[in-house]
Amino acid sequence: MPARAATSACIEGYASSVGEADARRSLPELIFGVVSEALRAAGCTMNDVDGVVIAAHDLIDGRSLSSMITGPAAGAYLRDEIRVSDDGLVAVSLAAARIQAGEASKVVVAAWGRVSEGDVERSSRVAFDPVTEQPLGLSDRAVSALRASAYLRLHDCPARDRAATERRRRAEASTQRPLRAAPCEAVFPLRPDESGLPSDAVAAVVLGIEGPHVITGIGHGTDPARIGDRRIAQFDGARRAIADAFAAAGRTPAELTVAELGGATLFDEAMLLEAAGLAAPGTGLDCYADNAWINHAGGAAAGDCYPCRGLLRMVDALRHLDAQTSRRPAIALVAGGSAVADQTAAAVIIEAR
Amino acid sequence: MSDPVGIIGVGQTPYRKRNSDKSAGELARTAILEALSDAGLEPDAIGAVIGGVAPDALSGIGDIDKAAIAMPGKPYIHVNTGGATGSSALLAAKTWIDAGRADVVLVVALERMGQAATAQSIFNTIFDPIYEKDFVLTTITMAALRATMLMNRDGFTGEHWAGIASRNFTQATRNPLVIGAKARSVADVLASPVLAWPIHLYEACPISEGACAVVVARGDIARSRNTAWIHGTGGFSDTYSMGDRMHRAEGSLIEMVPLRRAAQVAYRQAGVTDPLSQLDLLELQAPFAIIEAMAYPALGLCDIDANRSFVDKVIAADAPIAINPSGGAQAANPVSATALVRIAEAALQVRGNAGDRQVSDARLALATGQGGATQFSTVCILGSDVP
Repeated sequence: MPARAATSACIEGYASSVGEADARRSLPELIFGVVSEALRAAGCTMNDVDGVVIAAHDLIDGRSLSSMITGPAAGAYLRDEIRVSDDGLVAVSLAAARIQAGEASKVVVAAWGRVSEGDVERSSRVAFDPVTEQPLGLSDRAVSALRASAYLRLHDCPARDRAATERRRRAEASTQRPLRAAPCEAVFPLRPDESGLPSDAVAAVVLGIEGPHVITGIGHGTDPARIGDRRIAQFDGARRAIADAFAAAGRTPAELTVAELGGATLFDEAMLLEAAGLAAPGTGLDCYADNAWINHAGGAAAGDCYPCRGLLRMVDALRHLDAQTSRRPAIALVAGGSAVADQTAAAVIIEAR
Repeated sequence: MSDPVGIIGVGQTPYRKRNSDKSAGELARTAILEALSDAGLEPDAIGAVIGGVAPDALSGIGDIDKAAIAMPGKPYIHVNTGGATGSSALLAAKTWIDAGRADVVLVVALERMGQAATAQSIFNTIFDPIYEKDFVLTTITMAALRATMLMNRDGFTGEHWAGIASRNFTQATRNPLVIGAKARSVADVLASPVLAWPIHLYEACPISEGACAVVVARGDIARSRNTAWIHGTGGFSDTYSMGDRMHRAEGSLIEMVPLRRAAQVAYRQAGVTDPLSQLDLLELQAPFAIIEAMAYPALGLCDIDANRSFVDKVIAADAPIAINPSGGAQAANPVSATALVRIAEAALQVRGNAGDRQVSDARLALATGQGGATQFSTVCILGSDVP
């Protein structure tokens, strides 16, 4: 059932931070800083907030119950709090449901991941089946490479270099991008400039019932768990999530002015474009290169860390919406995937009032 | 007013220390199929699945829920709030339905902690790596600190904790899902080894594996079935720092401030003004006897200064309310699932389906969830009547 209820959730404030290792600041300090900035942007304080929804992962945070120490930094002190071990967009969806249900009128959503402390790659490896998948050395990065490999087998991809160059240009133009971080090690057939930029990332939004941006559609999708059971180059779960979000919003891909696709690599982002109906099969890289309104800040190349990815892309989308001056209605699609290797996906349609 | 929501199906595996012959998926499947059968629904009727597994490290496989619980094609959310995970997942399901996202939501919580080398070494990673870990703080030592604080403040003795534990163990013998349940006397409990003074082995929860599933629904689907209606819910969180909870205005470490606030919210929704007379039974997520004792005043069953005399009544079976007819979390504590088990047991009671552990004429029941050293608290009130 696509999600559109009588009360739509609005985005009242947002903030994000992507950076390289900074031993002077603890993870709770990073979280507190970004959540405080989002609250300031929303023109409110925690006293106005009914609840907190967090997206964080124990293994990446290095604690057996991460939100015990990090939750209060996100404002979860003597108020309703729930955490998902999923991508930040799932937390947005649950927070929006709380508003749609009439349980809350203002909710903080926060997500983070700190690659300088948590080994994201190792954490992703232990999520695969220990008998049938782990011996193959699978990880989220390896699955992204398998996807790219399958995609390259199906399509010629003449725009590959152009898309990578354009993505890098957009990321380098982003004021949010960490300057000294290095791209992650690429797995064949991916190249270094097609990968993401592992970062210490925190993002937060304040959802409410007023605000300049309205969430008009939300969708979720789920793929089979086992990689061998999936259509590897199709992103079927994300396709379903995006279609449901469009249906709930009553919008079509042609109406979008902003698209932020939360893939780990250029190829993942391009395949998500195709899953969204923004590009025909095999033309995702061309579409990416030709349209600056797609991942305008460079997507994962401007900073990335699961499970913060989707919320980072959402904040990128909000910045882009705020910067648009066209008379055309500003409408954004944001999509992101969760473990294991994007098995589950969420998509959100945001419209400027 | 939104359409009332209730639990229409319950499924549970037996709870035992380790399930060497079953995969995580098999455990979840057993609970899910039983819950769907109880609800009289096919999987196609499910609008969303909410899974609970926590902590992520306990089973030895990351995101174990994705293969074991998530269903292709269905929206899926993985909730993780420690010991309160199961009840947080249930609250999220109610939110999902109240928001109009679905009419039927499947909630599944799964625990595989028997696969961990030592559960307490994993729980030790909760604590600050510089200031706290070297004290070998664990969930047991945290409970012990609360016990000594209560003994110092109110004159509780080891016999009180042992009395609560003895009652829970005895009641668990009527619950066929607790594998290896054995009645234990106060003397048995006090004779068991001390884990962290004053907590004895038999005052602490065991390592338990298993899965629990409930089907939550609204509208005609719920009205046409034997439904445990959700009358009220509440959820609150606290700081994890025990030192910060000692002398604050909102209430000290032993006052369980988030549980008290969650109960107040749930009582308000359910119209409960005198819980001791209005509620028929409690299913408390109290993995240690001491935690159960702390919950009584937080739930408004007694004044905090009268807690010791209330505990005396409970131990003497003189309290006017049934407490943990299932044996509670002390008999079986599958961490991820345990708070959902409490809700499932409360649902069975108000639906009249609790078998040998059925409380006669149970119509209104309260279940709690506790996670992260009494940091995360939930309350869920279920009733036989449509709210």
